[in-house]
Amino acid sequence: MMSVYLHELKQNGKLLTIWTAVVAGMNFIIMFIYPQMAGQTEEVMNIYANLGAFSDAFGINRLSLGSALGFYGVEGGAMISIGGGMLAGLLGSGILCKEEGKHTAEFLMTMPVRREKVALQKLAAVCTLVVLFNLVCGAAGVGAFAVIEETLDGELFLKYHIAQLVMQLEIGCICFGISAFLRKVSMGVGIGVALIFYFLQMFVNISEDMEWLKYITPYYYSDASYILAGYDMELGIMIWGVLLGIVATAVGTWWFGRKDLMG
Amino acid sequence: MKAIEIKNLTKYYGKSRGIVDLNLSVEEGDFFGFIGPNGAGKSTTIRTLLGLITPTSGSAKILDMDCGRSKTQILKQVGYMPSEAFYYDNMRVKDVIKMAANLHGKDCRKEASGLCERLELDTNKKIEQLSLGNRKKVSIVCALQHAPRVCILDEPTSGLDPLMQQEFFKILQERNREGATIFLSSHVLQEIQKYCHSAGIIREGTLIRCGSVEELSHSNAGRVTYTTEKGTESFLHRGPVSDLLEQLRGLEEAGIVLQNLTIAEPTLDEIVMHYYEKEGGDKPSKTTGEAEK
Repeated sequence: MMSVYLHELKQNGKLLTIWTAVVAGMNFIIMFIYPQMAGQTEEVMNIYANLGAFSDAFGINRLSLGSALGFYGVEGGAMISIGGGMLAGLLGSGILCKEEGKHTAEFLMTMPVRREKVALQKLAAVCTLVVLFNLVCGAAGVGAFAVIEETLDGELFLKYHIAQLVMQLEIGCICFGISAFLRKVSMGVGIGVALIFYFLQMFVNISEDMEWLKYITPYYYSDASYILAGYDMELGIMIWGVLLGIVATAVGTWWFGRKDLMG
Repeated sequence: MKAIEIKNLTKYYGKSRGIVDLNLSVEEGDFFGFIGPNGAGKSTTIRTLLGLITPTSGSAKILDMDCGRSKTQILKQVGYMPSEAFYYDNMRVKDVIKMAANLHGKDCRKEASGLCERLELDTNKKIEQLSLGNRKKVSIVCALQHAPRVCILDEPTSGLDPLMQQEFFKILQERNREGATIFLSSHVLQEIQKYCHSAGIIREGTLIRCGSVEELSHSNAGRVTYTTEKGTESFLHRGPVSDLLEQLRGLEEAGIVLQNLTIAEPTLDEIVMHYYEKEGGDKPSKTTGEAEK
């Protein structure tokens, strides 16, 4: 019986469509700038090289804008990772508390379905929506490479997109956990969590003293400037991130199963 | 079997009182009215029965199953109508009704369409287009389509027009005759007097009176109205008639001549208002012989 799962997919269909169209669309269109920029790369690289901490923060010191994949990682990648992180945050942070906030808990939660089952079906819906978003964004990337007739390193591209997906799922799970403790939907929570993680990754890039933050922000193991530049993926930290997501899910589900529902 | 059995139920929200040491039982097949002013604890009681909130102490059972441990089993047998009917705004009525049936794991199409027809509910409309009354109708269908053994209805008639109220109670009476237990909370005492077999009165989180509606309405009280030269006076008398006679004799002794006197059955309204107004939660048995304006 997947009624709640299907219900959530339908409820969030509009948000997903708009969000995906914007991010995947931008991801696609921005690659059309690359052929024009490719001629001026040296000049541009010199400018970036002189930006110091700024280029460190965005990983431009590692990733060459002169290659199509490097350009994709810096330009399109930033959109996918911020846009995707925010989407996952928004979906996750509202998914449980909206029943109380919109007073539908008295309908849904008085049906003969265990609360834990409701929570997990809702989480499954969030994960499905995030996967769909990433599939479309990945397809837009592949499409763009084909249109501008650049060869695509499939392995790096796939690694990067898988890391992006895992990162967004982790944010989704963390926000899902937070959602169990909220009483109404707050867009600020979802967007805020994604942005905080994004800025923490910038700190990791800028200062060695801040390297420990890599255990907190999922933007570390999904950073385009490492993966697309061919660095080995930090699988250990990615697995640590997945564990954090699982813990947040477990805590959220446990609390949702026992909390007083007021709406 | 008891349909509902509540023992020493207490619920505090932090420091604020929900219900205190509430005891209540409703027999299976009863048509029970739960009366109380705003904030008395009606909704807290109902929410505990449905497992939406966990009691601070005490226990609540429906059909002999514990409301905490066997919540899912209980909810299969329960139809609930919340006091404020909120649904997903962008959904169509038919989809909400279908979703409720799916969550019950039952095919309720026949029953649902019968109810929609009787309640004149347009199932193609979106929830956001509905008035409060029409949203209430959606909640009636969602609460009754799966033929529950126990119906818990929180202020069900607010927002429904008088004709719909009548149809609604007709449906409830049919369900009751078929064996379902009806438990409804209400402010509208006339409807409790008219339809319920028994009732309980809750005030400040505690049940202050419970019994058959007949008993409550004939609780040894009368609305006494008399006319003198100065005008008409009226008061609620409870207790033995001899006390009333003594009181009236007192008037005559004081030189006041009674021109007219009627003693009418008080409405349930009056009795309940009397309980609400009383300070300290005195029970009527303790107020024998007392007469009040």
